[in-house]
Amino acid sequence: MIPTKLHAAFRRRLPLLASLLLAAGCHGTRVEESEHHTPAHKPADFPAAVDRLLALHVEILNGRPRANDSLDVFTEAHDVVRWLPELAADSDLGEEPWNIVYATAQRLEAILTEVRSPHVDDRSNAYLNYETELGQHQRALIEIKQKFPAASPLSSDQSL
Amino acid sequence: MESLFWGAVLRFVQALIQATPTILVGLIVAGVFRRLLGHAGTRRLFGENTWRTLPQAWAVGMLLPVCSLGVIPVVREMRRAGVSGGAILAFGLTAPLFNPISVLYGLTLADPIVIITFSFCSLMIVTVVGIAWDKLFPHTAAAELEPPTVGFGAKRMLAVAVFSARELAGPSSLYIAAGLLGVAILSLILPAGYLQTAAEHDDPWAPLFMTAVAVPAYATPMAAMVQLASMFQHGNSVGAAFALLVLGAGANIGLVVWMIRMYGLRRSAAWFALLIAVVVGLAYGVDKPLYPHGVEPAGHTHAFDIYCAPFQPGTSGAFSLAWRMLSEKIAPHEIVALIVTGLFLMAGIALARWDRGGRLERWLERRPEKQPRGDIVLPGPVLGGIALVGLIGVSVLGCYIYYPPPSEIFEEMGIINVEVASAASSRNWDTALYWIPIYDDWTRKLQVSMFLRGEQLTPYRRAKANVLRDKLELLEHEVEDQEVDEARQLGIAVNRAFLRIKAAYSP
Repeated sequence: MIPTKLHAAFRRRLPLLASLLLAAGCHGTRVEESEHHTPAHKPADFPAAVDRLLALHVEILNGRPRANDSLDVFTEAHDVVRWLPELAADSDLGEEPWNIVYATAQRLEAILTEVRSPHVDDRSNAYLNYETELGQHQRALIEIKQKFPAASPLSSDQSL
Repeated sequence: MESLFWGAVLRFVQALIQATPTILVGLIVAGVFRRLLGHAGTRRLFGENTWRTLPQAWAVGMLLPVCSLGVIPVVREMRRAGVSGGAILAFGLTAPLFNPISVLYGLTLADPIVIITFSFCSLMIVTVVGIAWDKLFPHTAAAELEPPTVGFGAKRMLAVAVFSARELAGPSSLYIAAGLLGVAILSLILPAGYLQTAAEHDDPWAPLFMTAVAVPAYATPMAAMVQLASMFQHGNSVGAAFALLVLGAGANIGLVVWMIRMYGLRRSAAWFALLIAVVVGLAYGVDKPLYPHGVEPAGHTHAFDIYCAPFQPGTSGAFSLAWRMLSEKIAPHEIVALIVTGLFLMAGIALARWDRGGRLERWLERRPEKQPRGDIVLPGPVLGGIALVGLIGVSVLGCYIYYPPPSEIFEEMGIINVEVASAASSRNWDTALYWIPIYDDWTRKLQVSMFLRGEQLTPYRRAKANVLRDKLELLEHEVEDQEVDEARQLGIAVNRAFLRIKAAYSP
């Protein structure tokens, strides 16, 4: 898979590299404006992200495998955790609770990175080893989420 | 064809305008080396061709605010002074990479460690490549005769100006033109927007590809730093960013041509091959470890649009479009620099036409019979040292002007915020597209300003700035696509993000 990707990327670049070296023009093509893509699994705001994280936690506990072509549950959880500080910053949340979100997200990311590392055979078991700590972090996030209607009367920008 | 031609002309002139202030600085530095420090003083500044030469050349290069075109008159003078080839090339490569203003701007990257690592890597490059040069090709230093010292007082300043004028009217301009021609040729080769997906994080070819593009490209230290900031914001390849900084800001075709003329094709090719190998190696080395944490790859970047053709093929009215782009973007300090450089050039041409024999220089070098009474005559090298330290001091002072206090920045941002939000909701697409990059720039200046004035740049404050920049980025895309509802909503979102950043940065 990877060599094919590499090969395709190289082939795509080859004409340009050659034209750079030969200083020859190649102005026939029109280059389309690239879109700024937001991943489909990115939650709209911080409360949605916390809800999604809890749902993913339950999914991992249940252990039901996803379809092959869909995103791995641990990868999705890792992504959502990475987005937590940004989503929380996109609200009226004060600095003190935001710092808690930031610290929690960093710790959760470390746990998920560990769980997703190649040397781990059984990811679900590795994840469950952190269950007590995960529970503490989830409670902290839920507590902050509950402040949201008061902290952010307009909610975040995605819900406009 | 018309759009191609005017596009290349536009890129040439844009690069010239951007480069003029730093070319002017380069000319003055070369003049100070020549007329105040003298050859012996210049060699002393660069470590007298001892083991200190390379780190000293790197340190002097880091502090002086010149670009890769402005460095051309300086390296020419260093060569005449008999500085070793390794040191000249070390200085020529690093001086354009950083200056105090651009280093500070680099602090707004995802993680300040990036800029520290890049600086360290540049030291590694000049050390490895410089040592290799001096080992492979020893005795490349060829000093010319020590120039006569100049008379006292205003004559010294005038001598620096005369040297700068003559230098500008001489071969330096041809090398500078060759460097600018590289930018024009690149715009003929690369169609508009071609490089938008050229530096994706998951593309293993990105650092190599950027290396190929960066050599003919030209970027001022500040432009390179702005591109770096954009690359980090978009989650682009860090290795590609490094290659762009070292070779885009550090090298250009003019410098390569000068090198080949001075040292020959074989030596230059060997040195360049080694340089590319070290840069590519380091680029791949830093690619993964320095990748910004928590950044979502945008899938493209506009950072390199400046290296591509500005117009799509078949664009009508390319000349008037090019003229409009130039007149809208030119900054006041660039206009001043263009006027001063133009005066230097005219003076240089006049001297070359009517004073080939150097009568003016002989008059400048004539010393009074007696020491002026009650006047302390400082030796030229002392004045030269003061001039160089002064130049560094001025660039540090320039940092405080370029990055004004946060209260002033918020006033500016408030005005721009209204412009952007109202333009986005009233479908005034051109106005929105004009102000959005300026707005983005102010958010970075705000962060540097806080840092300069000892204010804490907490993760919370950084996150608020990132959110505002992300909204601006999204808005820019909706405005480009002329999406009415999305642009209006994002205009409101930008306004809200502005109020939040203002609250977060208030003491």
